[in-house]
Formats: sequence, C-alpha cells, structure tokens
Amino acid sequence: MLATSITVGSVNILLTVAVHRGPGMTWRKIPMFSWFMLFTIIAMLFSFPSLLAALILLFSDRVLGTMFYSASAGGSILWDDLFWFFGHPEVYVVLLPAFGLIAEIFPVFTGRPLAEKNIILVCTGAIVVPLSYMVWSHHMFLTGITLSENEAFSVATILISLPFDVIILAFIKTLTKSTIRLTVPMLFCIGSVFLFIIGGITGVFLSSFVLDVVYNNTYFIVGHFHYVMVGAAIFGLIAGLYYYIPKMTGKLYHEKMANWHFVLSFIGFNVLYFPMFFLYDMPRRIYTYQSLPSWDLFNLISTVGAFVFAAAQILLLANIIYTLRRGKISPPNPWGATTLEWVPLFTGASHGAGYGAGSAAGGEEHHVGHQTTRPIWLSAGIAISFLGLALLPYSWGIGVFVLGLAINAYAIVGWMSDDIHERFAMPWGLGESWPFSAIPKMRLGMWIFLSTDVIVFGAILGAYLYIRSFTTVWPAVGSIHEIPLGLANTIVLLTSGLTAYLALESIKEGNQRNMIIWISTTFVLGATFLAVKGAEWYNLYFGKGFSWSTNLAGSTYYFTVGLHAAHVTVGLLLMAYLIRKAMMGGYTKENHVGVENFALYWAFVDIVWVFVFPLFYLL
Amino acid sequence: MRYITPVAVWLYLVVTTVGEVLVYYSGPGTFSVDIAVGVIAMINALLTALFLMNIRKEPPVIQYLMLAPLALIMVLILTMLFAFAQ
Ligand SMILES: [Cu+2]
Repeated sequence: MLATSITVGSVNILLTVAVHRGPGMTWRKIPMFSWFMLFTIIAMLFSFPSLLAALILLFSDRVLGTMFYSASAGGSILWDDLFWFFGHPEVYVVLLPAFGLIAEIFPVFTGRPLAEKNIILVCTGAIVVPLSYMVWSHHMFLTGITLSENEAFSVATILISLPFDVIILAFIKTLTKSTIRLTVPMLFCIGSVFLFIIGGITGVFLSSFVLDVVYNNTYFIVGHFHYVMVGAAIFGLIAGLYYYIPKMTGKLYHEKMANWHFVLSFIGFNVLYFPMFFLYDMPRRIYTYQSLPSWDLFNLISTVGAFVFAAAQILLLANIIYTLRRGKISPPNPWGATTLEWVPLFTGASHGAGYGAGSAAGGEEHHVGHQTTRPIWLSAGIAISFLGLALLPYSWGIGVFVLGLAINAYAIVGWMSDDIHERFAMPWGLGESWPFSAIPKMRLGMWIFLSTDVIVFGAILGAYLYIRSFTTVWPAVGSIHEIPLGLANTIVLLTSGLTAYLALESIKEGNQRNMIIWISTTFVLGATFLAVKGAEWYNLYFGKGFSWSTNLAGSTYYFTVGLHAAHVTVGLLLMAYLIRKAMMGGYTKENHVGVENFALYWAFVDIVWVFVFPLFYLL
Repeated sequence: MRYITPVAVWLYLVVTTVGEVLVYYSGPGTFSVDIAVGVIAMINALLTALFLMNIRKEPPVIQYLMLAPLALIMVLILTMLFAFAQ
C-alpha cells in the first residue's frame, strides 16, 4: 500500500515540478532543493514498483499459499533481488532531499554562491540516479551469486561513490574562503556533511566483496548505514527544519535550546555509532550479545550515546512547541537569504508560498473548486480493504475486506459522479515548458504511471522466468493449459485493443455516437476475455485440481494472470465510467483526455498480455 | 482512410499470434521455438506501442520515460537469470 501510494505520489510531484512552475521559472533557475527533489522522485519512480511487486508476491505467498519465495531453487534470492532493486535507490531517496537543503542553506550562511552548482547537478542527475539502479547486488555479495556478478556490482558501487566525492568537495569548496555564520541550520548542515564523509568512506570498504566476507552482517554495517541514513540524512533534514521554521510559523526558534540540540545530537550520535565500527566481528540482528571483553566496552559506550542522542531530540520537540507558543515574531527574511521564497511578498501566505513568482498571486483561486473529501474516503477504504486482505487468515478478515471495498465503492462512485458533473474546475493545461510542452498533463501523468507499471509487470515476469529457469520439474507445455482457448482469448483481447483505438479516433473527430459504440464494443470484448479467463480458472481448479499452491507452475500462472485480470477489471470499470460520461455528452472533439488516457492504459494491458500468453501457454 | 494503419497492425498482431502457436506446434519445447516465439512477442509489443499507443508521436521525453524502465528491468532480469550461471 505504501509502495502504491508512493508511486502515485511520485507522479504527482514530478508533474508539479514539470508543469506547475511559475511563469519565468525556467529549468536553469530552478532552486537546488527542487532539483534534488526531482532527482529523489526519479530514484523513487522505478524502485518502489519493484518493492510493490516484491510485497504483493510476499502477500500472495503468506495469505494465498503460493510459493514464490519458499521455492527451494533460489526463492530467497528472488526476494533479495526484488527487494534490493528497490533498497539501494531508497538510500538516495532518503539522502538527496537532505543534500538539496544543504545546497540551499550553504550559500546563505557562507555569503557566496554554491560552488560548482552545475557539476553537482550533473553528478547527481546523470550519474548517481541512473547508477543507483545498478548496484543493488552489493547487498547480496555472499549469497552465492557468481563471481562475475560480484565483480560487476563491486565496480559499479565504487563508481557511484565518485560523484559523491565531487559533490562533497563542492560543498567544502563553498565553505572555504568565506565568512561562515554558524547558525543552527548551518551547524546541522556541516554536521551532515561531516557524518556523510564517515558514512561514505566506510561504504567504500563495503563495496569490496572481499572485505564483505569479514564485514557482512556485522555491526560495522550497522554503523556505516546509520552514518548515512541517520547522520547525513536526518541532520540535513533537521537543518532544513530550523531553516524554514521562521517561514512556516512566522516566528523565531529558541536559539540557545537549538544550539544545545545540535551539540548533544552530534556528540550523542558519534558516541552511539562510531564504536560500532570496532564491533566489526559482532553479528547484527541479535537481541543480545555474548559477553566478550572486546565487545562489552564498545556496546556500553554505544548505549550511553544512544540515550544522549535520543534525549537530545526532546529539545527539538520542546523548541517547536516553544516557537509555536511563545516564539518571537520573525522578520520576513531572518537569514538574509536571496532566494525567492524569502521575498517579503510571500511572508504569511501559507498557501503556495513556494518558489515561483506567479504562484502566490494565482495560488488561492487555483485551488478553489477541487476541495473534496473523496480522496480521503478512498484512502481510508484502500487502507481498510488491504488490512482486511492481510487478515484473511482469520475468519472475520473477510468482513474487514468487504467493509473496505464498500468504502472504496462509495468514494469512487462519488468521485466519478463529481467528475461527470464537472464539479472540479481543473484547468486542463498543457505542459508549459520544455521538455513537456504540448502534452496534456493528465496524459503525461498516465505515461508516468505506465512507466512504473512496466517495472511491476517486468519484475513479476522476471520472477517467473527466474523460477522457471531454476526449477527442474515443470509440467509439459500443453498439459495444463488449453492452447486453442488461450489463443482465441488472446485474439479477443487484441481486437479490444483495436476497438479502444477506434473509440479514441472517433472522439478526436468529434463523433460521440461512434465513440460510445466502440467503447461499448471494447467493454464487451474485455468482459468476454475475463469471462473466458474465469472459465479457464474454474476448469483448472475444479477440473484438473491445479491450484496456485499445487506447484510453482500454479503459483506463477495464477498470480501473473490474476494481476493482469485485475488490470482488465480496472479497465472495465473505467470504460463503464467513460460510457456513462459520454452519454451525458462529457467528451468532445476538444476535451477527451479521459478517453485518451483509457486508450493508453488499455493498449498497455494488451502489451502485457502479448507477453503473458506465450510465456505461460507456449513455453 | 486513417483507419488503415491500426487495422493493419491489428491484423498483423492476430496473424502473428496464430503464428506463435503454429511455431510452437512445429517443435514444442525446443530452444529455437522459444526464441522465435519471444521475438514475435517483442515485435508485437513494439508495434502496439508505436501504432496503438502512438508513442512515436509523443515527444522524446515520453519515449525515454518508457525506455528507461524497460532497460532497468532488463538489467534486473538478466542479473537474476545469470546469478548462478557459470
Ligand atoms: Cu546499497
């Protein structure tokens, strides 16, 4: 669920950066923080779908009784691959926003522009982000994968450390020859960079699969990992928090308390995590440890540090409460910053007070008209129905699931009816600027969504291929599935692809009647496809006694085809909605973005089947 | 006559899908059949994207947006398949 929402959320942020920039905000002028958020999103976009695939497979194994991960032939490696394909980019997802904040804050308190800004951007955008997807196996060096893969991922991992060296050197260059004002945000920024250097250097140790033989699964890893994820990332984020508190609340935080917060955090953090590097022979993920002279002392120091570090965070909480209640009124630009968000014009305008000159003026009216409770209902419904799914092993789980579905239905039907009656005054603007010019933003959103769905289906088909290639006993082709029936059904789906296309062409010509006819045909074909699928399943399950828990062939077949069928079902719902709206004249020659998006989605569902059919019926 | 292209593509897809099955019957389970079927499927997917999703008319950024995950997923799948190969 988290993975789904994050995927959709990424689409949202990406569109905001790409399409909703204020006038005059060209790519060259985008602030560093926005750049880093964009990079973060790109690192999320294709990694979270892999986690999503990994988790629904896990869910299916646990609740439905499939056996992807329990397969004797490398099932656990399958989980490792799918999880870490997400897991490594995730590190940057946590880290990059912090770096973006540092890049905003350093220039303000050093009084000089960020050094090598363009090089930082190139290093992050062109090297770190793409490469982040190609280093994940360094988490699997000792799982028995081949030497050549170990070598390749070792090299890739060392490679990805190089752009970070450049970024850190640029940060340091910004600090040199400048008069640094040691405000609290600046202290946390410097702390973050310092801790990142330690975390990064120990990371280079770990990129060697030879050293991993020693360090794997020890407290050395725990130390390294926390220096990056807690030290560098959290310190940077706290810096951002202090930096923007005056903007967010209009008040000043308590200076002395904040200084103590930094000092205690920094000391506590290092006392907590640095000793772990000496515990490189103590295994991690244990609830207690053997009392050895070489371990006792470091663990004791570490524990003291943990209490100091944790207690220090109370100061942050107290400071926020203090600021809200009794903080002194802040001047409009307390830091003397030169960036747009501190221009006095925007102070106090909580709405749209971001970057972009135009957004403040147009901000209020822009948001009127789509205030609705539907999304909240839908999220609640999804949460409850998923909870129900997780509780299925209990007899009452089904009740929770049905309740969730009912809330979903209420929200979706309501949402659709709102939309049919045009209750949202959403401007269907084109993407304003390069490289998204001339793409309606809803269509752009659909493309981005589909690009993430490529990963979901790719990961699941990959899981199938992987399992298939490592399983020795597999039912002979044709012994399980009826090839002629599968072929006929494939043709039905392919034909629905054509009719969906024709529906779109009709409305482009302004022909509403034809469009309704073609969409209805598509609906009938799609429903036929599903019905045949259902009949096939019925025969397999009751006729041949072939279920998803029979063997791996069953697990992969039911799961993959089921996921595709779920996509078809969503397509049917969309069509029902399109038909209803079209009957009320909701689509015209000029305004048919809904039909366009549906046509894209449906063609994508077709493409997936183009692979699923031969993979399961013919190979 | 703007419907000629999509109808032709559809026809091609149907014929080649039947072709896949015929190829399969020519030598079930052999490696070359697997490859042939795989190639047909890839061409069909590409044609669908080009002519039924009209990705060829989208700006390059959209094309890269769809190519990027394909490339990444290929890296993932190949890494998994060759994890234990010699
Ligand atoms: Cu990693």
